[in-house]
This record gives sequence, structure tokens and C-alpha cells, in this order.
Amino acid sequence: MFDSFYKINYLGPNTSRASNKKHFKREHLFNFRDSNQVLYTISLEEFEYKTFEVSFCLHKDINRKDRFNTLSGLYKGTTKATKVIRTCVEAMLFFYKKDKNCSFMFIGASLTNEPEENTKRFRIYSLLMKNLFPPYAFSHYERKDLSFYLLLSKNQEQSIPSFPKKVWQMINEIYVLPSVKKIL
Amino acid sequence: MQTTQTISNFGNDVSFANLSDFLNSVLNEKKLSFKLRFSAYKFNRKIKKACKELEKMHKVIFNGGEFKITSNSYQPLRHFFDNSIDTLNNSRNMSMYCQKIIESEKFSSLPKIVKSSIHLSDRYLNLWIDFIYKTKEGLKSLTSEVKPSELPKGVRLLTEDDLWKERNKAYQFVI
Repeated sequence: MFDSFYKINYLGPNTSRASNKKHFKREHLFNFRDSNQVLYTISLEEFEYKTFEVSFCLHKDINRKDRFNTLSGLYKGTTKATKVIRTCVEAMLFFYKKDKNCSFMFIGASLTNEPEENTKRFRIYSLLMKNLFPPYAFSHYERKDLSFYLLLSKNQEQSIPSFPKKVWQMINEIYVLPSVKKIL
Repeated sequence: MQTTQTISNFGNDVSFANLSDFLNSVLNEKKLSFKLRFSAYKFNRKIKKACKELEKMHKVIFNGGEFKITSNSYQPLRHFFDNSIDTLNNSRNMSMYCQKIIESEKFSSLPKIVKSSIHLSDRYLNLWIDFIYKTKEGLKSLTSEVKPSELPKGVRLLTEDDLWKERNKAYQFVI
């Protein structure tokens, strides 16, 4: 079901984007078109420790505040959405193939009126991470109450003392947990 | 590839049924026939080859005491480990059987070739016991050793075992 994906284009770092988030370095942008020529944007926000936060949305919704909390409704009754989700993994692999020290994180955004805990998106995305990213390359962490998932590089874990502790401290400072409001 | 083949070939070359039949014949026959000596000769050749393959696999996966897992070896090794309880129990039982023969009065009077078969069988079985034990430890080492106190409240570290149980085995890893 998650075997195929669309071809992604790396657009480079988003130089116009500034962020007030702590530890933020830069944002990388990708785009792709689905089989109906609908344009999507994938964003990978890079933080310290080569940690990337993944998010994606319809390009036309990029300026909407609720862009992560709605369903496009484009694939109702089909499994085509899986191909779109799998395409986001390609963006993660784009960086991982260049540098095996990369770590990734995401939040499965809640739908309108859905509680933040263990959201529908989180259940799908986390299952995908467990199926595609092996335990010999990444440590997997989840925080279900916030629908938050973290893939931590084993390479970094072995070379940096107390690496998980440091990254979790950083994440706490980025999101000011537990009141996370951001998304994938 | 070599590892995958060796793991999946286990039981084809020297099966527990063959081993059990052979050991039973040694224990129960009053006078060892030419046929049994000949089967011991054939058996020794097979088991030596099987030991060699198993030692080679040991070397690939536990090279220098370090657990070396790759995208090619992880899944077959994990599938093997999932089904290894029977193998482990059989190996332990059979090894005890071998020990029983070695310690019996009859052992000293057995032909040299048969004695060698018993020792080889015991060595082969112990290699499997060791391999399964080390695999268990190796898979355990894939889980991060982070202390729960170092993680924020509510964070769950997924162990290698959690990840294996929760995944759909039909999917292939992307790395």
C-alpha cells in the first residue's frame, strides 16, 4: 500500500522564512504533483542535532492557518492518499541518504473537532515509520498524548553522549511541551 | 545473502529428525551394524559441513563480539528468532541426549566413527544454542539504552521487539 510515491523536487532552503522557534536553523522545501496534477508542498524544518520536522500540505492552502487540520477530500474512498504520504518519506530519505546522522520528527495533526491525543493521522504516520525505518538505523519514540513521533539517528546516539536526553530537551524548548499546536 | 540462505537452510541438511533417529539407533542397538557405521560416516560429513556454515554465519553476524546487522540480514534473522523456541528446546534436549550417550558405559565401546558422530552432533547443537542466545542479546542491543528518567513524562521508547510486533511484515524497510 505504501510502496509507490511521486517524484519530488527539492526547491532548496526557504530563505524568506524566519522562525521564532528555538534551535531553528532553516526550512527546506520540496514539491510534487499527484496523478491529478494537484501540487503539494513538503516542508522539513531543520533544527540542531540535524533533526528535521516534517510537514506537508496542499500548495494552494500554504497560507491557511488550518492547513494541517483539514482533509483535502481528494482521495475519498480510495487508497491514493497513501502514495502522497509515502512521498513525504522520500523527502526524509533525501536528507538521510546524504547524511546518516539525520533524525526526524512529526506531529500527527488533529482534524477539526478531533482531540490532540493519538490522532488519526498520528496512527497512520507512526505505523508507516515502524514499517519503513528499521530499528538498527533509528530509535523510535512516541508521545501519544500529543501525537508526536521521533526517529532518532542511531549513529548520533552512539557518538554523542546522552543524545536522546539532549534532543528531548531541545524538543521541549521548541514546542514548549505539552501545549503543542503544530502539525504534520 | 549467505546469512539468509544459511538461516533458511537450517534443518534441511541436518534435521532434528535425522539427528534423533541416528542417536536413537546408537543408544538402542545392541550390536552396531555396518549399516550404522556407514550412516555415521555419511552423517559426519554432513554435520561437519553444517557446523562450518553455522560458524561462518556466526562470524558474519557476531563479528568480533559485535552484533552486525544489515538490511539483508535483519528480517530473516528476526523471522528465525521468532520461530526459534522449538529449535532451542530441541537443541537442548538433543544435546542432553548426546551427553547421556557420552556418559554411558556403552560409549567407550563404540566405534571411533560413531563416537565422533556423537561429539560432532553435540558441538553442532551447542552452536545453535549459542547462536540463538547471542541473537536474542543482539536484538536486545538494538533498543536504545536511554534511562526512562532521561525522557520527558509520557514519552515511550519503542523497543526492537515492540517495533517488530507492531509492523506489517509485508513491508520492506526503505534503508
